[in-house]
Formats: sequence, C-alpha cells, structure tokens
Amino acid sequence: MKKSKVIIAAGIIGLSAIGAMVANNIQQPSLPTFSTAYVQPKQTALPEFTLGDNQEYTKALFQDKWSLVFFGYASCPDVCPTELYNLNNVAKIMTDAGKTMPQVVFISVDPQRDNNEMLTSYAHFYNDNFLGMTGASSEIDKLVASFGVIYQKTFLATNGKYVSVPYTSPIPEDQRESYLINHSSRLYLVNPQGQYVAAFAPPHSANKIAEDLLKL
Amino acid sequence: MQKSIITTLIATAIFSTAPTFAAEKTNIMIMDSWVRAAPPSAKVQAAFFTVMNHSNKPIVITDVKAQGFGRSELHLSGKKDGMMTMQKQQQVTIPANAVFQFKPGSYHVMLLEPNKIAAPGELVNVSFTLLNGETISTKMPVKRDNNKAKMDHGKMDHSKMDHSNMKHN
Repeated sequence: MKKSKVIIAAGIIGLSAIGAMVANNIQQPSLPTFSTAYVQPKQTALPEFTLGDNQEYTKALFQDKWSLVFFGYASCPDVCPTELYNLNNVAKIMTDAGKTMPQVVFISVDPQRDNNEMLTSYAHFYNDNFLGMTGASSEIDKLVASFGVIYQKTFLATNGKYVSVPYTSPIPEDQRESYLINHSSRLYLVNPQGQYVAAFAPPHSANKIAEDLLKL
Repeated sequence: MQKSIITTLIATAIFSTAPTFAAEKTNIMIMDSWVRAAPPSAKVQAAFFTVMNHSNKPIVITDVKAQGFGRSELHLSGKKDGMMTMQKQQQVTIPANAVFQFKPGSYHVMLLEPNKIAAPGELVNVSFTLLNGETISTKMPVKRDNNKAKMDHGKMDHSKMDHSNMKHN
C-alpha cells in the first residue's frame, strides 16, 4: 500500500515536471538551450523609455534584432572597460563564424557625470557598432527595474569608510566628482521582440558568451 | 658613518632614477605592467602589473603616483551583494617571497584626473611609495589589452580557446 502511494506520488511529480517543461517550451519557443546564459523564467517585455540627448533611444531600439545590454559608467576604470573589450572579442568570434553580432548597448547609470556624446565615443573606442547612452535617472531606472539591475553611489566618508547611497541622494560637495558606483555586472540578452530573455553572469568569457550567441 | 653615507648615496641613486633595475635591488620587482588604453573621453585609467617580492619580509605599498594624472590610488575591485564594487586601499601588502598580481577585476592602480588620457604606445611613469619610505618607479606601456601573443587574431580558431579556467597565482 505504502509502496503504491509512493509510486503515485512519484508519478504526479514526474507529470508535473513534464508539464512544466512543456509549458516552458510553449512560453519560450525561440530560445535554444544555452550553455552558460541564465534563461529568465518569464520573458519580460521592456517598458517604454527614452534615453539620449534627443530622446532618440526608445523601446524601438530593441525591435527586430538581438541585443546585449550592460549597465556601467564612464569613470569605471576596471570592470566596464574589461566588459566592453570582452564584448569586442565576442563580436570578432561572431564575425569570424559568419553570424550577426547582437547590438551592444552600454547604458551609463551616471548621468550626473556622463553625457551621450562622450558615451558614444566611449563605446566606439571598443567597437564602432557599440552604442553608449544615458538619460534621466528616472528613465534609466525603468530599464534598471526590468532587468533587475542594482546600483548605488559609494564614496569615502571623512571617517575613512565607504558609504553607499541611492544614486540620486545628495552627497558631500567634495565627493561630487570622485564618487564610485557599485553596479550589477550581468550582461542582459534581449530578443528581437524587445523582451529580456536571458542573462550572462560574471565572470564573462568571450568564448562562452559567443558559444551561446552562435545558437541564436 | 661613511658606510651609511655610501648606502644613502646608493639608495638615492637607485630609487630616484632608473626604474626596473632599481626595483630589483630592493628585492622587489615590478613586471608585466600595463595601463589599459581608454577612450579619449574617459576620465580614468587603470594600471595592472605583477609584483615579485624576493625578500623574506612582506613589502607594503602605501602610496602611488603617476605622471600625467592628478591623483592615483590603490584599488581593489570585488563583488558584493551582487554588485561589482571598487574600494580604495590605504595600503597593499605583498607577502614575503610572493608573486602578487594587480589584474583586471582585482587589485589595480586607478589613475584619476588625467591631463590627457594616455594613448596606446605611450609610457606612463608610475612611482610607488613603500612603508619604509623607499620609492620605486617603473614605466608602464599603454595597451588595449595584455595579450602576450602578438599574432593575427583573424586566423585564430577562437572556438578552441577557453580562458575561463585560467588560474593566476
């Protein structure tokens, strides 16, 4: 008796699992099986937003092409340049394989110090096709919320300790140029329907990212 | 007395002038150094290098200065609460008889307030102050990356490369 209950329970669990897998496949028909990218449990449609000096970057930016989105800031000496350099290596691998590289979108979460002109030249330094942009924090935060990005301003207080505050919070006058930003360093994959579908967690390897992108 | 004067003279000669060989004399060697090239619109750059401490005592770096930059700081990148963070280090200790790497995603020298962003091919003169007061200088080349192999990447088979498991000890 007990044994049969166990079998029934196992059967129910098994069927549920198959059901979940089928449901998942129905929900995300276009995604291949990735080796390293984390597939989002639910595809998230990106919200309406406007970035750029002339509000030229909107939701339409993500239509009809795959995109890779990275959040950072131009005063970042280590993580952001490494990422953009790495993404240029991904682009080389994709080109060598005869595949289209997704558009790379570098979004600065630091509009108080960065502007669109410098972010464009910043992105082009790594690859002529990369886009660099920023905008009002309120607009950036719409995307930040969709991707689940976290970022904060951090600065050295007079007691020699780091203090972290929300980006738009006031900070001491003498720190206005020298603050740092802690930020998520995931790389987000957006499908041609403008939905956030997967993320690459750091540390990022150009080969591993390319391996997954080649499957698209 | 005479001996100490000579020592001082030698020390002055070593520490104030030539870079690399001077570093060797103090049992500390800075090698494989490079400054990451940055867009002309960038506000900061980072310097990476390997420090070899050939002595039986830890060596403590307390300060850093770089020519052409208003401010330079010892920094450590890391991960905290799901975010990449960076923190200024008051000092960095190189353990005795150790090889210590300042590398991307870890310890580095952050170069701030540039007179002009250093371009690939240029050399940046970087001086380190040690806890014992000594100064060590070295010239760091500006590069886009620190790939040692200078080859035609177009012909490389990237599919067989995987650096993700590389260990830097």
